[in-house]
Amino acid sequence: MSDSDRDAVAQSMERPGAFAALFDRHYPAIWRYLCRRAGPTAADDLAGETFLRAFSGRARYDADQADARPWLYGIATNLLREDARREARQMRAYARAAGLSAGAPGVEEAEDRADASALAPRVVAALAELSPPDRDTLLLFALTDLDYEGVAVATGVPVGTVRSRLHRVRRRMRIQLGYEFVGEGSAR
Amino acid sequence: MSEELTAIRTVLAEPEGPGDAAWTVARAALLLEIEESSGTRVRARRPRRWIPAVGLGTAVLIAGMVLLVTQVFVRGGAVQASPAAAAVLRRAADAVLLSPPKALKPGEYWYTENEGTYLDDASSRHGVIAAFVSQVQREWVGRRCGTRDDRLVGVRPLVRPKSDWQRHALAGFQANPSFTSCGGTGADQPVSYSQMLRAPTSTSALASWVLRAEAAPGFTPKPQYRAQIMFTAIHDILIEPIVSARLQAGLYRVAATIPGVRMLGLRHDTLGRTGLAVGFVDHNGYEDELLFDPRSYALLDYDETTRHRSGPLPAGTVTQETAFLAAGLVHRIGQVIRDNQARR
Repeated sequence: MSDSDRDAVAQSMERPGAFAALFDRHYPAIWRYLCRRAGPTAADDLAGETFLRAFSGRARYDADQADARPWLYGIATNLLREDARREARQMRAYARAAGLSAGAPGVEEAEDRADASALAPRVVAALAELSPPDRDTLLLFALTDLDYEGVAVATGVPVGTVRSRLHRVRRRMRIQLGYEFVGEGSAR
Repeated sequence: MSEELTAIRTVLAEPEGPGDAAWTVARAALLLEIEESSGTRVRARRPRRWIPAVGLGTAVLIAGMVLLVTQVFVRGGAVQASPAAAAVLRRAADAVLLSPPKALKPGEYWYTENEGTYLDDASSRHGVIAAFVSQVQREWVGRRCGTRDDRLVGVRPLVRPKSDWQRHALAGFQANPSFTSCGGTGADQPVSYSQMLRAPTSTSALASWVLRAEAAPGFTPKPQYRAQIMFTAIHDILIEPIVSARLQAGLYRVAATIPGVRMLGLRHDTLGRTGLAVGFVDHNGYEDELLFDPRSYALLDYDETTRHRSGPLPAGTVTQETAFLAAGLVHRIGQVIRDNQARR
């Protein structure tokens, strides 16, 4: 997948239609990330916009990056920044409705919902107190399958900065959520 | 330990995924953007390499002149199909080759169900009136007479009231439950079935074949009309009851080379199905359009629309339409397929 991401971007320089392969491959993941942060309506708007921006900015794609996902997540994150009110509104919705999924409840699902109900206000409050760069770093790490290097590409900062930022933010979250702090680690 | 990450993932719960509508709209928007950018190629950053500049420059100059001559004198000065339109057509070609083979065995029939609409006129005591006629046509094509030719063995036009289609005045067709046995040999069609079976496989040869098949005998179309003739011919062949997957795919590839074919964006057919529209505006101001399912790239619909007022018809009037409703292999005449899928 990764090699073909780089190939698709490179080919699209001469043959723009090749870029559609990137959309087919990554649109669902980008949409899910945006939906978790800003809700489905915003995700519908911003996921499409992500690929439009990616297409128009493909000349700036770093050819050293075989995998386009960090780049795409970075664009999506910037779009969220530009429309921060949508994310704030979604966070308030999570706090109100406890971010529950619909569907017929089973026992485990009911327990999950109860957990989410209890957690939601605290998680939302803790996220709201983070600076935008810290929140982006944390949520990219938590909600996507990006590793430190991927988050660094997405946020445009050195990987060392991502490590230290994540260490600091995760520690702060753990304290605010009432978990005992153990250490940074890289457990996900 | 990562309870804080688990808490975030629990509260910001994983959604199911994007809906079809969002996916379709976003993809179509990207394809349109791709098309609009096609005139301005983006140059990749590459390391500089010293090359024999004079030799390369001469080669580029010669190639450019050849290209110019080809465009101006062979293709009437127009450009090729737009990249986005060509991409859709190539995908449709790939998709159709995945469909079941249409080489029929004895006892098998290829079933098609289309809804056709066209502008017709009829005499009445008030004079000649024009009306849009809509009919659903079901056809079963099988092997008959022990030859390799696939023959038309059944046609059954049905009355289908369309109360929701208010812009069209319907003329009545009598339901005819009987079949016309071994009714046609295809000789009255622009391209006969046996001709279709012998169609060439390469895109360039097929393009010439399409042009020859559609043009009147002894008539050499002017370059500026070739594109129009070819696009119309492709439609005429596609609406035949049976077209091999190979030929259908080949026709899409030919369409991808026709100058002036471009992406029209998201459109709906008369049944409300959303699709990616690829079209061509002819010299008379009519827009011919092929509509493809955005997921399967199956052909949903063909229509012809006025771009400008044409006589009594206002701009935007659909003057001809074929909605491909269903197609597939059946084992008896009268058996139908209810998949509501477009033609493969």
